[in-house]
Amino acid sequence: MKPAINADRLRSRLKAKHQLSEKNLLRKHPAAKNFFQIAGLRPGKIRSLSAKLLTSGALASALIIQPAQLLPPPLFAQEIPAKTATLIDTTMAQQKVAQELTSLLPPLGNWKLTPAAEEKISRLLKNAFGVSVSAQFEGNRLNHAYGRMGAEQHLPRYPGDTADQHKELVEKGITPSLGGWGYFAYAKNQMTPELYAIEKYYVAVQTLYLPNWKTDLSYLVQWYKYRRVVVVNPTNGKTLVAAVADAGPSDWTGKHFGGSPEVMAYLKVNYGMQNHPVVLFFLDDPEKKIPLGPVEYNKF
Amino acid sequence: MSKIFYDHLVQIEEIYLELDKHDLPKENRDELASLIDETTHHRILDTILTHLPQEKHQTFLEKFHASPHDQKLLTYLKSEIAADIEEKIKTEGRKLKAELLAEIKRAKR
Repeated sequence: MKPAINADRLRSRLKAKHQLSEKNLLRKHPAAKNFFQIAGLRPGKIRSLSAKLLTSGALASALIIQPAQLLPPPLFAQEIPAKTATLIDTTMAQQKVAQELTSLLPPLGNWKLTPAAEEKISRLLKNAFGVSVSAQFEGNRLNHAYGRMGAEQHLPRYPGDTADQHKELVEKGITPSLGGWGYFAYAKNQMTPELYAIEKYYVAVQTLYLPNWKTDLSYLVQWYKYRRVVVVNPTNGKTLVAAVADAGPSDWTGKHFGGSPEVMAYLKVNYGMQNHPVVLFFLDDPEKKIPLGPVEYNKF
Repeated sequence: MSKIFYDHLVQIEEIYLELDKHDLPKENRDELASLIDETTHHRILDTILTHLPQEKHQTFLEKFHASPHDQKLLTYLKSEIAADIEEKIKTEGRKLKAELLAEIKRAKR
């Protein structure tokens, strides 16, 4: 049954309200801003803190009226495993990205970014994740750097490839025809870890609508083949490195990009109508130091 | 859902019930509920800190951080704030609920 409400619209408005209320709180009450910064906690996350305290039975005696005490140790200054610290930092970076993108992106339906917005988004992602990205790279740009991403199926990687050989998200199926650049390898035994990763985290982009697609065909076909891009879900800040491996979707779908099952799953846009807005910029990483897949904080 | 000491004054569950009338995928619904919950915290905390004398903010925040669910926090606020803080929280809660219900209504197809 189709939801009776436009979830995208509601999310967008609630997110705006959320950000405004947080901003107002921290602007009006410097003690609160300082407190939550030191505690390493977003003010809205107090319920998860409450759950943690109740679960561990760590009821404080701080409610006895006393002069101001030392704060409990900041959550992130404690000894925690490096993996957990990265997860916490990545989550905070994602939240920061999501928060900032709300003010940088135009309203839904207006998919054109201004040069100033493109510049700010590039700086934002550089600061958050250390990745150098841009909407235009080496003189090339897609018709959209911001638009709706639709779900794609797995691509045939070599002759005889089937959906179940992809192991993950098998239920999404495999395309009946080849991707825009054909097989990734001529045989299974010629596949490499990199080629597996390219198919796993592939995107489709609308090369077919580029104004110079026909005039510069051979150059553009080569330039876009497995071109590294960074894709961001502006709702949650989740970011990953993907590779262009297919052309599309068609304009009549109302979508501007396509994402592999793994891309859609990681960005958490694989629900409902599966046409969630994303930001897609080219990655400047000629030595391919940044692996395909999810981007973590402070890794680069 | 774990408790915050002012939950009974705000009763935001009404919004979740309205949300649940629509056939939203779980992930979608949970995300919206999270936004609603966090916005509520921002607004109620703002109300409290607006009425609590500034020199008491640090003390209150430390106690709140240590034990967000403890009803003694309300007792503390009543002792430190001249105005009827329970009524102030209820009023802000009602105002926010009306805003959120209006947003849900606006989002209907």
